[in-house]
Amino acid sequence: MLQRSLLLLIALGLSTLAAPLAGQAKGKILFERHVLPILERNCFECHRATYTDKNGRRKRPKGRVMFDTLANIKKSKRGKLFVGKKPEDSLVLDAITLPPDDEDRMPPAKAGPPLSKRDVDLITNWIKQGADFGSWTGEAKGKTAKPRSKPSTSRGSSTKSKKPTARKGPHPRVTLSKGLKPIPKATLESFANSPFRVQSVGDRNPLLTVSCCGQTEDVTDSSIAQLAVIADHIYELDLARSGVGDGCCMELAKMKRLVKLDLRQTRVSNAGVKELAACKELRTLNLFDTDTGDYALNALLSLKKLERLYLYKTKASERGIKRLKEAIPGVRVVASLDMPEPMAETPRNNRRRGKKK
Amino acid sequence: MSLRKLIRGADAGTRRTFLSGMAQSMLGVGAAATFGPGLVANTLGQDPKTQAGQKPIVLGPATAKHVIYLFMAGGMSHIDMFDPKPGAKTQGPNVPIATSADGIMLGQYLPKLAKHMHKACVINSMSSTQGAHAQAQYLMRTSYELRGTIQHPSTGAWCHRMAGRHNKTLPGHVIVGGGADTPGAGFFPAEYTPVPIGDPDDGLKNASRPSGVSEGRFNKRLKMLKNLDTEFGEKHKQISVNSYSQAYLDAVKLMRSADLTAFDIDQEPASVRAAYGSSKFGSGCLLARRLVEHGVRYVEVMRGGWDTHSENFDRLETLTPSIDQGLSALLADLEARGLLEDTMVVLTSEFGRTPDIDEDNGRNHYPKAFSAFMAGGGVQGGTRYGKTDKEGREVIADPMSIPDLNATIAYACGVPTDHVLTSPSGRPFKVGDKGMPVTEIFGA
Repeated sequence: MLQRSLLLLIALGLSTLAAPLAGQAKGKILFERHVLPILERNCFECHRATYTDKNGRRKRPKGRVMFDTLANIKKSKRGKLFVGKKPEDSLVLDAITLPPDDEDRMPPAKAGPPLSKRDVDLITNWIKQGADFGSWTGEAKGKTAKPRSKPSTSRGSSTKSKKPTARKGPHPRVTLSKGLKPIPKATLESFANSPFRVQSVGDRNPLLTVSCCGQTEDVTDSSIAQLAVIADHIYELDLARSGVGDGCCMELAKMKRLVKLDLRQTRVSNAGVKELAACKELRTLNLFDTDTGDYALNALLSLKKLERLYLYKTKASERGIKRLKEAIPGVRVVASLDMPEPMAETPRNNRRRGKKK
Repeated sequence: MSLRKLIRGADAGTRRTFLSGMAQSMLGVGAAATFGPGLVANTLGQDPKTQAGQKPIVLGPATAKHVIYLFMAGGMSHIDMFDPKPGAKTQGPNVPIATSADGIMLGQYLPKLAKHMHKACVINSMSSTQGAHAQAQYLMRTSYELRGTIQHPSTGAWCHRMAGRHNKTLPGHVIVGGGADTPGAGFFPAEYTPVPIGDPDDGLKNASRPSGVSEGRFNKRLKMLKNLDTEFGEKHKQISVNSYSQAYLDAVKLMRSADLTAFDIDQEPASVRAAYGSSKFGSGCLLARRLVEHGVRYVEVMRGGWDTHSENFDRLETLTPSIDQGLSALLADLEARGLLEDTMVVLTSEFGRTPDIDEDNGRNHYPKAFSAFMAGGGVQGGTRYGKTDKEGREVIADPMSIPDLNATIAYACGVPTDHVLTSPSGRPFKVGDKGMPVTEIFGA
């Protein structure tokens, strides 16, 4: 008891001492000297390995969050409690900076007042400095509770009627980006005022997705030349409804990593599509509402990786499509519109209005 | 809302309500003004908007470029639509029907949609914590609980802001058949406010110059306004000032854009109009398709009237044909155009309705278990996620919370669901709050 209150006194004293230090963010903040006391004062009652309190009641850690040992902090099931240099990623900081009326705020309203701004700043700055725990491990303070053997994952087995068909092998986004150097930032930025929207395919992958950003009519065969500098990196290209025609297809044929190409409602015709036979990685091709037909399909027979082809409102014949399906097993061809029959009568939508609420 | 009314009410409301009202009113545009260049925010740039001092947003791989969110306001009965319970006493007089997907049944009111179920995933394990309309709808749209101190952004505004716009001139986020009382952009800058289209048959109203104002005169007015505003803009470099002028800029750009025709469903052939049906919901779906085709990221179509406290089955008879028709046409049309693989179609409601049928032949509010529908945008078709018990009372497998649903939509758009944005008061928020994207529903 004496020890506890002594500790508390020291803690209070220290955090007062530490305050100017926190404000200026000068000098190194030491976890054991400055941060730990705050945690002990405000968090330990609920967040430490199972212990027996002074009334003889066993207390389990709440929310599976424990601060009493380094091991417990590091392996928290809730996520990263402290992330060095990244206050925004540190869950603890989230929890203590919520407004007092938020139910997730820590400490909870019924357990105690919010942390003072000084304490919050101190912890923030300690994290900014790298969240260094120094030599502290916390182990000496007593036994650590064994972690629960199995965290019950919230997502059990799926009850789908049909299991998703797993893609064979890794995603083309992964295989095609192997060894590919990213395009310099300045080159990417040069597209800011172009009619194209150029972006990574995601997660900073060097492969790019390119689309027209609105002024589709401004995008013509000659504008495609602008894409030459990034041609090797283009994974997905959306030229839908733009002013391009067969003239751009020579440029498109140079895009060796092109996996998805959207040419719907453009002036591209058979002659242009023929050039696309060079794009061996092509998996999705949209030719909806273009002046293309069986001649184009013949040119595509060599694209063995093709998975989806959209041919509604083209001149492709059933025979041509059949031949393509035989040459490329598994390709899905959409060539018709399966609209529902119109309604027999106008719906009597507003006929009956029941009571509200 | 007229501009005059807005200005008159400006003293009473906060600056923010004024601004968001402003943006809504302006984007359905009448007058216009513009600030100098350089304020054209780079919503289209390489890095979508990043708040000062925050880490940049790194988008993940997107399975969907667009979202069409169909909101059945009032509480759609799960047992009668997407979670039938053949043989159970809670089923009532509705006879479930088989669909094009093995093992998935629908209520008898959706015979046309049944032919498209191989494209869709039914989620039977939704549950909400709110049982009153306003609170539940707010939670559904934002993932956060309705409270007095803050207005949260809707999932559409999150996707718009984080993933950016596809089309420079068209709005990033449109809401059809409602919108006035939705959370909209919440505490985000006003430029992320959804553009409301009251009646899909009318398209975007007031989007042309007033008759009698020539192009030259219009430009002169814009220039004058610019002159008046420049000094103020330089003196007060604030987000809300920028946002305000951004609303004007966007509006003028849209007025002069060829893409304005995206809002005009009269351009569609009669056969297409007929396939979508003559209902407002059908027109809304058709408008949504046109907008998506032109590059709008997020379109919400609202359909009310699902609050079937009495004569539930009679009312479903009149409510559902337009839904069955519109949604089936939408799926077919998107598929034929090659847009379905890039467009996530979501249909949901704020809660379900009681399994027990009361003495008025009605079903009442039931947040404990209900269903949602998803198709396209990478969602594996012909599947079901989650399960309720034999009578549709309790979720018994793979629960999906409302934040989970919103996180899943954001995930499909490539939006990082763990990215924190702070409100102007400095509080941290995430799209989908604490929800986790349910990645199992996506195909390979």
